[in-house]
Amino acid sequence: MDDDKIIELFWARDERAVELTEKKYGKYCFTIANNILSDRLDSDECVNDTLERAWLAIPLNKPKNLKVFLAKITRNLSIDRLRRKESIGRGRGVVNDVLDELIECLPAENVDEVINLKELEATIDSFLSTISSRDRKVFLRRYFFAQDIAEIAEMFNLKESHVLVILSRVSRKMKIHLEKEGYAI
Amino acid sequence: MNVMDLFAAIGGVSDKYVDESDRTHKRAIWPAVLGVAACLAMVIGAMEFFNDRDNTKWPLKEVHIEQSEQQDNGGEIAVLPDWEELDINQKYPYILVDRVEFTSRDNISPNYIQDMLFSGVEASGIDMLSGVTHKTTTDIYEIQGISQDCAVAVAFPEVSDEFYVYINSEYSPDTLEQFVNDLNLRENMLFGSAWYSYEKESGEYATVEFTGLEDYVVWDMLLDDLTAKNVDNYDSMNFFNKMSISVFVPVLGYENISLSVTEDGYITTNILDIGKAFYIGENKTDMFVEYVLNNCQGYEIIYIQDDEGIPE
Repeated sequence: MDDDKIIELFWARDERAVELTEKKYGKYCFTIANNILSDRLDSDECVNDTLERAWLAIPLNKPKNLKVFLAKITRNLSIDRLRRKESIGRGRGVVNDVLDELIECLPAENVDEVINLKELEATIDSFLSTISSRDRKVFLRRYFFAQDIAEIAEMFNLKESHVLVILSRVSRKMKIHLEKEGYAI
Repeated sequence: MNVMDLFAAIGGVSDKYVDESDRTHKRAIWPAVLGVAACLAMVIGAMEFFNDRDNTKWPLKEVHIEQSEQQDNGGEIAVLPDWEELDINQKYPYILVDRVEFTSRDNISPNYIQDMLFSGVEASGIDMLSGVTHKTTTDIYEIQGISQDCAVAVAFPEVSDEFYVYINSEYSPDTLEQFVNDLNLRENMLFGSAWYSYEKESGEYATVEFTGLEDYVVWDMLLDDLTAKNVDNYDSMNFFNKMSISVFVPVLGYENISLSVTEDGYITTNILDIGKAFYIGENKTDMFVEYVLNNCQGYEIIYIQDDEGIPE
């Protein structure tokens, strides 16, 4: 069933919407969650939570792109769960490598201040508009989907070392962009 | 701001960028979606099992998916290579040619090299470990049959007799004719299997690979209307693929990327990275899909993850 029809079912409060979404995008959401959490049980729970959130959210917010809408919910829920795991000392798992790389993007004199998430999102969005399509796609495969380097290299027909170089260069550019936008103190 | 804040904020980027990166499928969709390395060993098996759909029976083809060695070791260790370990095109991934930025791909056989277009074009690259900026001077060549608006070959003094393809990933043709001519696709493009996804009665989605699709069929049925215009708002459009065809453009180093037909009558492709979509009408896309379903040999793909099984 196409996504528009599934969204219509959500709007009509028809519970088949959840079932159809799970069948069509369950594995997709699981992969995103598992890339971040490296834990099948937690990832399964994240998928269930995603479906529940979509059920609650869609009457208020009609998504233009159901797949991306679900990806973002899954990702946010996975990060929340990751933060909780960290707080009880369970560690970050495989995504730790992704986060270690992202440290390169943090402004040099960064302090642990409270940030306005929406403003930061807009700043990152404007930065992404300045780089090439390929670099943007590689960057998001790694830092949005938390996909591993070997898979990204395969997808883009590049050597793994080339992917690392692209990520490193984009990270450096983003760091400069964030500093220009006032994220350095 | 800490790194987790930054990681979370990346989740708020525009839908169009997430969608753009999500449309990059080099191979059949499911291995990528499953999140395992694409280390595939194809085994045709279980031929006695068939699937019924609209009176069409497709035998099953098992595709064994192995976890990558890196994943077996608990996740890859991403180590940025030393400057000296990088290939020359990795050292200098971007080159400004006649005020257009080109990005590097693979090396290219000297057989494809034509006239020199520009000499002494400066390129700079940063050693990401030391922060030192390096500079070199390159010569830019035309690639046989390829418009310099799309791609060029670059020669570096550090590597004699080697040429590298650099593409203009922002290239956007006005029409299908321009696209075909600029890349000389009639000679440079090869087609592989067609891939079809459908919903089974159980509600599960299945992927079917169709083999034996002749190149001339794709040209005659999908690429014959050269006046078809390229959309100018690809990123803001939602395309739902009915069928995808594996595409190879060896001269530019593209293997197994895609040409897709959509439910609403477009053909889309990611050749030269940025998405392109040409409207050819639903009649044509429907006829093509029906042709493949009825005339090519289909195999329903069953993915088997060798160590743990496909996550449900």
